[in-house]
Amino acid sequence: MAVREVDDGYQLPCGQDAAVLWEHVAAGELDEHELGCPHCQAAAEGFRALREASGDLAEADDDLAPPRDLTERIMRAVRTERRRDAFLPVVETGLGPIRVAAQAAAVVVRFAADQAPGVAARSCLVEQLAEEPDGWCAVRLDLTLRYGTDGMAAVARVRELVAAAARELAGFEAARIDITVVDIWQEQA
Amino acid sequence: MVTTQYETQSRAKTGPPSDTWADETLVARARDGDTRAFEALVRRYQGPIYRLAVRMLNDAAEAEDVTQEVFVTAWRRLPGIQDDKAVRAWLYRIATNRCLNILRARKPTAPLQEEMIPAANPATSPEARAEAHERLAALRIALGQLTAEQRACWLLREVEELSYAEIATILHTTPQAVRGRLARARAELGEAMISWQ
Repeated sequence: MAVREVDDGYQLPCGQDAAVLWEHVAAGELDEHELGCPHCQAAAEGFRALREASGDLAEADDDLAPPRDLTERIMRAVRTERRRDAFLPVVETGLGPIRVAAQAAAVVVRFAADQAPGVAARSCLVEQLAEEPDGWCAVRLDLTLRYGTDGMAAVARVRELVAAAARELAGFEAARIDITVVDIWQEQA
Repeated sequence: MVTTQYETQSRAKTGPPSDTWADETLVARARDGDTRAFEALVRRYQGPIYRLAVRMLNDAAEAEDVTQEVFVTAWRRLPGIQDDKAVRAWLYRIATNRCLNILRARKPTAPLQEEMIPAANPATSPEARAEAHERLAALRIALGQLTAEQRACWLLREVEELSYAEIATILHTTPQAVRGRLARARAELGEAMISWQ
Protein backbone atom coordinates (compact mmCIF):
# COMPACT_ATOMS: atom_id res chain seq x y z
CA MET A 1 0.00 0.00 0.00
CA ALA A 2 1.19 3.51 -0.60
CA VAL A 3 2.07 5.02 2.73
CA ARG A 4 4.03 8.14 3.48
CA GLU A 5 5.93 8.88 6.61
CA VAL A 6 4.55 11.67 8.76
CA ASP A 7 5.71 12.97 12.14
CA ASP A 8 3.96 10.37 14.21
CA GLY A 9 3.59 7.39 11.90
CA TYR A 10 2.51 6.39 8.40
CA GLN A 11 -0.40 7.75 6.42
CA LEU A 12 -2.40 6.25 3.59
CA PRO A 13 -3.07 8.57 0.60
CA CYS A 14 -6.51 9.37 2.10
CA GLY A 15 -4.85 10.66 5.29
CA GLN A 16 -5.77 7.65 7.44
CA ASP A 17 -3.09 6.59 9.95
CA ALA A 18 -1.87 3.08 8.97
CA ALA A 19 -1.39 2.09 12.62
CA VAL A 20 -5.00 3.04 13.44
CA LEU A 21 -6.26 1.03 10.47
CA TRP A 22 -4.13 -1.91 11.66
CA GLU A 23 -5.79 -1.76 15.10
CA HIS A 24 -9.24 -1.61 13.52
CA VAL A 25 -8.50 -4.60 11.28
CA ALA A 26 -7.17 -6.52 14.31
CA ALA A 27 -10.37 -5.71 16.22
CA GLY A 28 -12.54 -6.49 13.16
CA GLU A 29 -14.22 -3.07 13.43
CA LEU A 30 -13.62 -0.71 10.52
CA ASP A 31 -15.10 2.78 10.87
CA GLU A 32 -17.36 4.50 8.36
CA HIS A 33 -14.54 6.15 6.42
CA GLU A 34 -12.51 2.95 6.24
CA LEU A 35 -15.50 0.97 4.95
CA GLY A 36 -16.08 3.42 2.11
CA CYS A 37 -12.50 4.33 1.19
CA PRO A 38 -10.74 2.35 -1.57
CA HIS A 39 -7.27 3.08 -0.10
CA CYS A 40 -8.33 1.82 3.32
CA GLN A 41 -10.11 -1.19 1.81
CA ALA A 42 -7.02 -2.23 -0.16
CA ALA A 43 -4.75 -1.68 2.83
CA ALA A 44 -7.14 -3.58 5.11
CA GLU A 45 -7.08 -6.53 2.68
CA GLY A 46 -3.28 -6.55 2.87
CA PHE A 47 -3.36 -6.40 6.65
CA ARG A 48 -5.82 -9.29 6.84
CA ALA A 49 -3.66 -11.44 4.57
CA LEU A 50 -0.63 -10.47 6.67
CA ARG A 51 -2.36 -11.47 9.91
CA GLU A 52 -3.30 -14.84 8.46
CA ALA A 53 0.17 -15.41 7.04
CA SER A 54 1.73 -14.48 10.41
CA GLY A 55 -0.33 -17.19 12.06
CA ASP A 56 0.75 -19.64 9.34
CA LEU A 57 4.38 -18.71 9.93
CA ALA A 58 4.27 -19.42 13.65
CA GLU A 59 2.38 -22.66 13.05
CA ALA A 60 4.49 -23.97 10.16
CA ASP A 61 7.70 -23.20 11.97
CA ASP A 62 6.65 -25.24 14.98
CA ASP A 63 8.05 -28.10 12.91
CA LEU A 64 11.29 -26.21 12.43
CA ALA A 65 13.36 -27.79 15.14
CA PRO A 66 17.08 -27.51 15.74
CA PRO A 67 19.11 -30.66 14.96
CA ARG A 68 18.87 -33.31 17.65
CA ASP A 69 22.52 -33.16 18.59
CA LEU A 70 22.57 -29.39 19.08
CA THR A 71 22.01 -29.56 22.86
CA GLU A 72 24.92 -31.97 23.18
CA ARG A 73 27.17 -29.78 21.05
CA ILE A 74 26.30 -26.72 23.13
CA MET A 75 26.89 -28.57 26.39
CA ARG A 76 30.22 -29.92 25.18
CA ALA A 77 31.36 -26.36 24.44
CA VAL A 78 30.02 -25.20 27.81
CA ARG A 79 31.78 -27.95 29.76
CA THR A 80 35.14 -27.05 28.28
CA GLU A 81 34.62 -23.56 29.69
CA ARG A 82 33.58 -24.76 33.07
CA ARG A 83 34.75 -22.49 35.82
CA ARG A 84 36.74 -24.55 38.30
CA ASP A 85 38.37 -22.07 40.59
CA ALA A 86 38.04 -23.20 44.17
CA PHE A 87 38.98 -26.57 45.65
CA LEU A 88 38.21 -27.98 49.07
CA PRO A 89 40.74 -30.22 50.79
CA VAL A 90 38.70 -33.17 52.00
CA VAL A 91 40.95 -36.08 52.89
CA GLU A 92 44.55 -36.05 54.03
CA THR A 93 46.40 -39.15 52.85
CA GLY A 94 50.01 -40.03 53.39
CA LEU A 95 50.63 -38.96 49.82
CA GLY A 96 49.00 -35.54 50.09
CA PRO A 97 45.47 -34.13 50.32
CA ILE A 98 42.64 -35.22 48.10
CA ARG A 99 40.67 -32.20 47.00
CA VAL A 100 37.22 -31.75 45.55
CA ALA A 101 36.14 -28.82 43.39
CA ALA A 102 33.89 -26.54 45.41
CA GLN A 103 31.54 -26.55 42.45
CA ALA A 104 31.29 -30.33 42.51
CA ALA A 105 30.57 -30.18 46.25
CA ALA A 106 27.81 -27.66 45.52
CA VAL A 107 26.31 -30.00 42.93
CA VAL A 108 26.11 -32.76 45.55
CA VAL A 109 24.53 -30.39 48.08
CA ARG A 110 21.93 -29.07 45.66
CA PHE A 111 21.07 -32.55 44.48
CA ALA A 112 20.63 -33.73 48.07
CA ALA A 113 18.40 -30.74 48.90
CA ASP A 114 16.25 -31.41 45.82
CA GLN A 115 15.32 -34.80 47.23
CA ALA A 116 13.32 -33.20 50.04
CA PRO A 117 9.63 -33.02 49.07
CA GLY A 118 8.58 -29.57 47.85
CA VAL A 119 12.14 -28.24 47.67
CA ALA A 120 14.23 -26.95 44.76
CA ALA A 121 17.69 -25.67 45.60
CA ARG A 122 18.95 -22.48 44.03
CA SER A 123 22.38 -20.96 44.82
CA CYS A 124 24.88 -22.93 46.83
CA LEU A 125 28.35 -22.17 48.10
CA VAL A 126 30.62 -24.62 49.92
CA GLU A 127 33.68 -23.26 51.71
CA GLN A 128 36.34 -24.69 53.98
CA LEU A 129 35.89 -23.36 57.54
CA ALA A 130 39.01 -21.35 58.34
CA GLU A 131 39.44 -22.59 61.90
CA GLU A 132 38.44 -26.21 61.46
CA PRO A 133 40.31 -29.23 60.16
CA ASP A 134 40.47 -29.95 56.43
CA GLY A 135 37.16 -31.13 55.07
CA TRP A 136 35.04 -29.27 57.62
CA CYS A 137 32.98 -26.95 55.54
CA ALA A 138 30.34 -24.28 55.69
CA VAL A 139 27.43 -24.69 53.29
CA ARG A 140 25.35 -21.71 52.25
CA LEU A 141 22.25 -22.76 50.43
CA ASP A 142 19.27 -20.88 48.94
CA LEU A 143 16.06 -22.85 48.66
CA THR A 144 12.73 -22.37 46.98
CA LEU A 145 9.68 -24.14 48.38
CA ARG A 146 6.53 -25.36 46.72
CA TYR A 147 3.48 -23.42 47.92
CA GLY A 148 1.98 -25.19 50.91
CA THR A 149 5.19 -26.96 51.96
CA ASP A 150 5.89 -26.98 55.71
CA GLY A 151 8.96 -24.75 55.76
CA MET A 152 10.37 -25.85 59.13
CA ALA A 153 10.05 -29.55 58.29
CA ALA A 154 11.46 -29.06 54.80
CA VAL A 155 14.50 -27.15 56.04
CA ALA A 156 15.16 -29.77 58.74
CA ARG A 157 14.92 -32.52 56.11
CA VAL A 158 17.29 -30.62 53.79
CA ARG A 159 19.84 -30.34 56.61
CA GLU A 160 19.75 -34.12 57.14
CA LEU A 161 20.01 -34.89 53.45
CA VAL A 162 22.81 -32.40 52.86
CA ALA A 163 24.86 -33.57 55.83
CA ALA A 164 24.53 -37.19 54.76
CA ALA A 165 25.27 -36.54 51.10
CA ALA A 166 28.29 -34.35 51.89
CA ARG A 167 29.83 -37.11 53.98
CA GLU A 168 28.86 -40.10 51.86
CA LEU A 169 29.17 -38.71 48.35
CA ALA A 170 31.68 -35.88 48.47
CA GLY A 171 33.81 -36.69 51.51
CA PHE A 172 33.37 -33.45 53.44
CA GLU A 173 31.71 -32.63 56.72
CA ALA A 174 28.96 -30.01 56.47
CA ALA A 175 29.79 -28.53 59.85
CA ARG A 176 27.62 -25.51 59.26
CA ILE A 177 24.59 -25.34 57.00
CA ASP A 178 23.05 -21.90 56.51
CA ILE A 179 19.77 -22.09 54.66
CA THR A 180 17.78 -19.19 53.24
CA VAL A 181 14.35 -19.69 51.71
CA VAL A 182 14.31 -17.20 48.83
CA ASP A 183 11.13 -18.00 46.92
CA ILE A 184 7.89 -19.97 46.88
CA TRP A 185 6.66 -21.58 43.69
CA GLN A 186 3.34 -23.01 42.63
CA GLU A 187 3.12 -26.25 40.71
CA GLN A 188 1.90 -25.64 37.18
CA ALA A 189 -0.97 -27.77 35.99
CA MET B 1 23.39 -39.17 64.26
CA VAL B 2 21.97 -38.72 60.81
CA THR B 3 20.11 -41.80 59.66
CA THR B 4 19.45 -40.72 56.11
CA GLN B 5 19.58 -43.42 53.51
CA TYR B 6 21.11 -41.83 50.47
CA GLU B 7 20.27 -43.79 47.36
CA THR B 8 22.76 -42.96 44.66
CA GLN B 9 21.36 -45.72 42.48
CA SER B 10 18.04 -43.92 42.09
CA ARG B 11 19.62 -40.75 40.73
CA ALA B 12 19.01 -41.29 37.09
CA LYS B 13 15.39 -42.28 37.60
CA THR B 14 14.38 -39.72 40.18
CA GLY B 15 16.58 -36.78 39.30
CA PRO B 16 15.16 -33.36 40.05
CA PRO B 17 12.34 -32.22 37.76
CA SER B 18 14.49 -29.40 36.43
CA ASP B 19 12.39 -29.07 33.26
CA THR B 20 9.55 -27.72 35.36
CA TRP B 21 11.60 -25.29 37.44
CA ALA B 22 11.31 -21.54 37.14
CA ASP B 23 13.87 -19.76 34.96
CA GLU B 24 15.30 -17.91 37.97
CA THR B 25 16.02 -21.19 39.78
CA LEU B 26 17.83 -22.57 36.75
CA VAL B 27 19.76 -19.33 36.26
CA ALA B 28 20.87 -19.15 39.90
CA ARG B 29 22.08 -22.73 39.78
CA ALA B 30 23.77 -22.36 36.41
CA ARG B 31 25.58 -19.29 37.69
CA ASP B 32 26.99 -21.45 40.47
CA GLY B 33 28.37 -23.77 37.80
CA ASP B 34 25.54 -26.32 37.70
CA THR B 35 25.71 -27.54 34.09
CA ARG B 36 22.55 -29.64 34.46
CA ALA B 37 20.56 -26.53 35.29
CA PHE B 38 22.11 -24.78 32.31
CA GLU B 39 21.26 -27.73 30.09
CA ALA B 40 17.62 -27.39 31.18
CA LEU B 41 17.74 -23.75 30.04
CA VAL B 42 19.27 -24.83 26.74
CA ARG B 43 16.50 -27.38 26.21
CA ARG B 44 13.85 -24.82 27.11
CA TYR B 45 15.05 -22.06 24.80
CA GLN B 46 17.13 -23.56 21.99
CA GLY B 47 14.01 -24.10 19.83
CA PRO B 48 12.72 -20.50 19.99
CA ILE B 49 16.24 -19.08 19.56
CA TYR B 50 16.94 -21.35 16.59
CA ARG B 51 13.63 -20.45 14.91
CA LEU B 52 14.25 -16.74 15.43
CA ALA B 53 17.71 -17.13 13.86
CA VAL B 54 16.32 -19.11 10.89
CA ARG B 55 13.71 -16.43 10.26
CA MET B 56 16.22 -13.63 10.63
CA LEU B 57 18.99 -15.21 8.54
CA ASN B 58 17.05 -17.54 6.26
CA ASP B 59 19.87 -20.05 6.57
CA ALA B 60 19.62 -23.20 8.70
CA ALA B 61 23.36 -23.81 9.07
CA GLU B 62 24.03 -20.24 10.18
CA ALA B 63 21.06 -20.40 12.53
CA GLU B 64 22.59 -23.48 14.18
CA ASP B 65 25.90 -21.69 14.67
CA VAL B 66 24.12 -18.66 16.11
CA THR B 67 22.14 -20.82 18.54
CA GLN B 68 25.32 -22.49 19.78
CA GLU B 69 27.10 -19.15 20.13
CA VAL B 70 24.15 -17.63 22.00
CA PHE B 71 24.24 -20.29 24.70
CA VAL B 72 28.01 -20.38 25.05
CA THR B 73 27.99 -16.58 25.37
CA ALA B 74 25.15 -16.82 27.89
CA TRP B 75 27.14 -19.31 29.95
CA ARG B 76 30.15 -16.97 30.01
CA ARG B 77 28.07 -13.95 30.94
CA LEU B 78 25.88 -15.62 33.56
CA PRO B 79 27.83 -14.16 36.50
CA GLY B 80 26.89 -10.69 35.30
CA ILE B 81 23.17 -11.21 34.68
CA GLN B 82 21.12 -8.59 36.55
CA ASP B 83 17.65 -10.05 36.58
CA ASP B 84 17.36 -13.83 36.78
CA LYS B 85 13.72 -13.74 35.68
CA ALA B 86 14.51 -11.93 32.43
CA VAL B 87 16.61 -14.73 30.98
CA ARG B 88 14.29 -15.26 28.00
CA ALA B 89 14.53 -11.65 26.82
CA TRP B 90 18.27 -11.72 27.56
CA LEU B 91 18.77 -14.75 25.28
CA TYR B 92 16.69 -13.09 22.55
CA ARG B 93 18.90 -10.04 22.94
CA ILE B 94 22.13 -11.98 22.43
CA ALA B 95 20.60 -13.84 19.48
CA THR B 96 19.13 -10.76 17.79
CA ASN B 97 22.37 -8.83 18.05
CA ARG B 98 24.34 -11.75 16.67
CA CYS B 99 21.94 -12.06 13.71
CA LEU B 100 22.07 -8.31 13.03
CA ASN B 101 25.87 -8.43 13.00
CA ILE B 102 25.84 -11.32 10.54
CA LEU B 103 23.34 -9.53 8.30
CA ARG B 104 25.37 -6.31 8.33
CA ALA B 105 28.45 -8.24 7.26
CA ARG B 106 26.54 -10.03 4.51
CA LYS B 107 26.53 -8.98 0.90
CA PRO B 108 23.12 -8.46 -0.79
CA THR B 109 20.15 -10.49 0.40
CA ALA B 110 20.52 -14.26 0.29
CA PRO B 111 17.96 -16.01 -1.90
CA LEU B 112 15.05 -17.69 -0.15
CA GLN B 113 15.67 -21.38 0.37
CA GLU B 114 12.62 -23.27 -0.72
CA GLU B 115 13.56 -26.45 1.20
CA MET B 116 13.43 -24.59 4.48
CA ILE B 117 9.72 -23.97 4.16
CA PRO B 118 7.89 -26.66 6.12
CA ALA B 119 4.65 -28.03 4.76
CA ALA B 120 1.42 -26.37 5.81
CA ASN B 121 -1.03 -27.98 8.19
CA PRO B 122 -2.20 -31.27 6.58
CA ALA B 123 -5.62 -31.12 8.27
CA THR B 124 -6.97 -28.55 5.82
CA SER B 125 -8.22 -29.06 2.25
CA PRO B 126 -5.72 -29.22 -0.63
CA GLU B 127 -6.90 -25.85 -2.01
CA ALA B 128 -6.66 -24.11 1.36
CA ARG B 129 -3.30 -25.76 1.93
CA ALA B 130 -1.95 -24.59 -1.41
CA GLU B 131 -3.19 -21.08 -0.73
CA ALA B 132 -1.70 -21.04 2.77
CA HIS B 133 1.57 -22.34 1.36
CA GLU B 134 1.71 -19.58 -1.23
CA ARG B 135 0.69 -16.92 1.25
CA LEU B 136 3.43 -18.11 3.59
CA ALA B 137 6.01 -18.09 0.80
CA ALA B 138 4.96 -14.53 -0.09
CA LEU B 139 5.37 -13.47 3.53
CA ARG B 140 8.83 -15.01 3.76
CA ILE B 141 9.94 -13.21 0.63
CA ALA B 142 8.48 -9.93 1.91
CA LEU B 143 10.22 -10.42 5.26
CA GLY B 144 13.49 -10.83 3.41
CA GLN B 145 12.97 -7.42 1.85
CA LEU B 146 12.59 -5.55 5.15
CA THR B 147 15.67 -4.02 6.74
CA ALA B 148 17.25 -6.31 9.32
CA GLU B 149 16.10 -4.05 12.17
CA GLN B 150 12.51 -3.94 10.90
CA ARG B 151 12.51 -7.70 10.49
CA ALA B 152 13.82 -8.17 14.03
CA CYS B 153 11.13 -5.83 15.37
CA TRP B 154 8.37 -7.58 13.50
CA LEU B 155 9.47 -11.12 14.44
CA LEU B 156 10.01 -10.29 18.11
CA ARG B 157 6.58 -8.66 18.35
CA GLU B 158 4.34 -10.71 16.04
CA VAL B 159 5.89 -14.15 16.34
CA GLU B 160 7.71 -14.16 19.69
CA GLU B 161 5.13 -11.83 21.29
CA LEU B 162 7.62 -9.79 23.29
CA SER B 163 6.52 -6.44 24.71
CA TYR B 164 7.56 -3.11 23.17
CA ALA B 165 9.71 -2.45 26.22
CA GLU B 166 11.49 -5.81 25.89
CA ILE B 167 12.09 -5.28 22.18
CA ALA B 168 13.41 -1.78 22.85
CA THR B 169 15.93 -3.20 25.33
CA ILE B 170 16.98 -5.90 22.87
CA LEU B 171 17.52 -3.40 20.06
CA HIS B 172 19.03 -0.65 22.27
CA THR B 173 16.29 1.78 21.36
CA THR B 174 13.07 3.28 22.74
CA PRO B 175 9.58 1.71 22.78
CA GLN B 176 8.49 4.67 20.61
CA ALA B 177 11.10 3.76 17.97
CA VAL B 178 9.99 0.12 18.12
CA ARG B 179 6.41 1.23 17.49
CA GLY B 180 7.58 3.22 14.47
CA ARG B 181 9.62 0.39 12.96
CA LEU B 182 6.77 -2.01 13.52
CA ALA B 183 4.28 0.30 11.79
CA ARG B 184 6.67 0.62 8.85
CA ALA B 185 7.21 -3.17 8.72
CA ARG B 186 3.45 -3.86 8.82
CA ALA B 187 2.81 -1.32 6.09
CA GLU B 188 5.47 -2.86 3.84
CA LEU B 189 4.42 -6.42 4.55
CA GLY B 190 0.75 -5.49 4.06
CA GLU B 191 1.63 -3.99 0.69
CA ALA B 192 3.50 -7.13 -0.32
CA MET B 193 0.49 -9.24 0.69
CA ILE B 194 -1.80 -7.11 -1.52
CA SER B 195 0.50 -7.74 -4.49
CA TRP B 196 0.43 -11.45 -3.72
CA GLN B 197 -3.37 -11.52 -3.76
